[in-house]
Amino acid sequence: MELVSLFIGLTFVNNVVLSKFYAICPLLGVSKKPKNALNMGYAVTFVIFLASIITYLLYYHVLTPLGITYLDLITFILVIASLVQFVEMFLKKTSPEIYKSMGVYLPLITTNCAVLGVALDNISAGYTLIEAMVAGLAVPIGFTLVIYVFATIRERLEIANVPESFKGTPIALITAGIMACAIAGIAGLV
Amino acid sequence: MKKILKLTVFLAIVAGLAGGALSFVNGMTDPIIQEQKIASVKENLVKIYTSGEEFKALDVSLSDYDALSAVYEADKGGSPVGYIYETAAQGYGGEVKTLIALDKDGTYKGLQILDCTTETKGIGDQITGESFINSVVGKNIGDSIDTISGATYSSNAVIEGIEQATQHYNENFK
Amino acid sequence: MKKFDVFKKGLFVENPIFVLLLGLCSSLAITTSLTNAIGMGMAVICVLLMSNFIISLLRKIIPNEIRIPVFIVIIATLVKCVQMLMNAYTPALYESLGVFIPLIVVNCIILGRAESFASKNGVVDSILDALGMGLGYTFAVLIISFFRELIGTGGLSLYNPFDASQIIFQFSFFSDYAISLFTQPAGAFITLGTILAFIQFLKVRKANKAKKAEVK
Repeated sequence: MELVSLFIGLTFVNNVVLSKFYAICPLLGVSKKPKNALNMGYAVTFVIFLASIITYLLYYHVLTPLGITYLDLITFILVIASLVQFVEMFLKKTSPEIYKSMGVYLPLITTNCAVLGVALDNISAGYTLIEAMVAGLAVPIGFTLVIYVFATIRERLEIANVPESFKGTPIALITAGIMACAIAGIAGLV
Repeated sequence: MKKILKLTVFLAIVAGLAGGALSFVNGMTDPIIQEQKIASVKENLVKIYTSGEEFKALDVSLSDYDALSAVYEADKGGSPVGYIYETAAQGYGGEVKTLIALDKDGTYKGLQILDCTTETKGIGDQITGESFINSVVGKNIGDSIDTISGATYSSNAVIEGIEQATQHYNENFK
Repeated sequence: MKKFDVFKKGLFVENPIFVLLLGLCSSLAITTSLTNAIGMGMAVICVLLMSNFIISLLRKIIPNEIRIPVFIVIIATLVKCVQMLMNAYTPALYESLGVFIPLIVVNCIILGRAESFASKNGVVDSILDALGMGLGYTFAVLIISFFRELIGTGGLSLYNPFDASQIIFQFSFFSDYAISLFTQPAGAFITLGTILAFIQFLKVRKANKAKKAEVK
């Protein structure tokens, strides 16, 4: 039951994009087409889920026993970079179309704050391995949800009559702000 | 093949240098960080136990208590007079952190709100008010504590911490 | 003159946040107070300065194929050093910035400048570029946090980053009418969106004026 509320909490209430501002760059960059947004979401989900397990095990079973926890940041970022490289090679071979449509945003998953953020949060929140796995699943699902909804809204904004000064990024940010309000409205859920 | 070897060696050297630099900075800053950890809490502890008690951080497992983050023991004349728990529980906007002292005489000796910056201004931060603090301090350990109506989430976060501290106290120190 | 241009462009024309839209995560998250903004700005300047310096020094030795991993290792090391130093000497700031200090590693500004500037230019230019970009970042987060703190709490305050008990100034103007939404995440988006809209407004007006002048 606690795991369920952790999951719902991280997916909706404390959605990392809208409450912690992780992953704003891909949100603004990739999310003009809902389909791309979904593909991006899948890739990120895969990377975050694996990264949160691997970094967790490395931290508690390698770094802590050796007393070199100050190497955490370097270890984590290298794990993440390797995982992203792996996803990139995998997609290039299996579905070149998706690979092409995601373009520059694929290698940029490495610098997606959400990936490193989840890995660091798992440690600092003192989660157990199971909780870290739940977080590793809940966070990217929340991310995918927001980026998808956001993309559909932006698709409509394209044809909407927005004041000239607000065209493009400004209105996208305001939209995100209103979405954050909506998410804050269900804060009592968990 | 030779190229790959060269690249690997280069990366290894960079990583080695990075590790060396980090361990140097760590050695330099770690003692200061440790000292500060005790110092920052001590400042709060002496506000609860005012007659020259000595404090030490206890090394006990708190993994079953998600709202407890540290336990300190207050000693007077070599024997413990009370235990102070550092708690952190989910409030309305984020974590509410407190210190709750459970005295050997069977009462709550003191309550301090360390951090409620994530709570709504004017509503949630009523937990720092005197009336709420006074509704806890002096009560017998285990007595129920009323929430503040209108600030249920924030005050429940404090109460959650107190309840877990009480449970831990009853199991370990009573 | 040219050297000065390298420095200056980061401040306005290529401001990392307002124009290039890089490093938005941290700039939205930590701009709840002026003190946080200054602390984050200092941390970013330190990391950016050191990373640009080291990378421009090593740019001829680093093999091209593995430059990105090498950059990342260098940056992660620097960030961790800054994190430990802040934990030791500015504990209050360290607490309030929290996870966003280690997240400087994945701040696009740092890696972006390393890749697009420091790896191609000399040491002096790279340092100037880092200073310009770093100050541009600080300037931007200060503006965002100015509005968020003012509207969200109804006042402005600044603490000494090295000693949280030392208050440099603290004003309260209309705290009864504060809109606390602005200290919350939603306010961050709305504030930055509005600032960007204002910048776009200035640009459009300038372009229109130029057009009119041409017609005449």
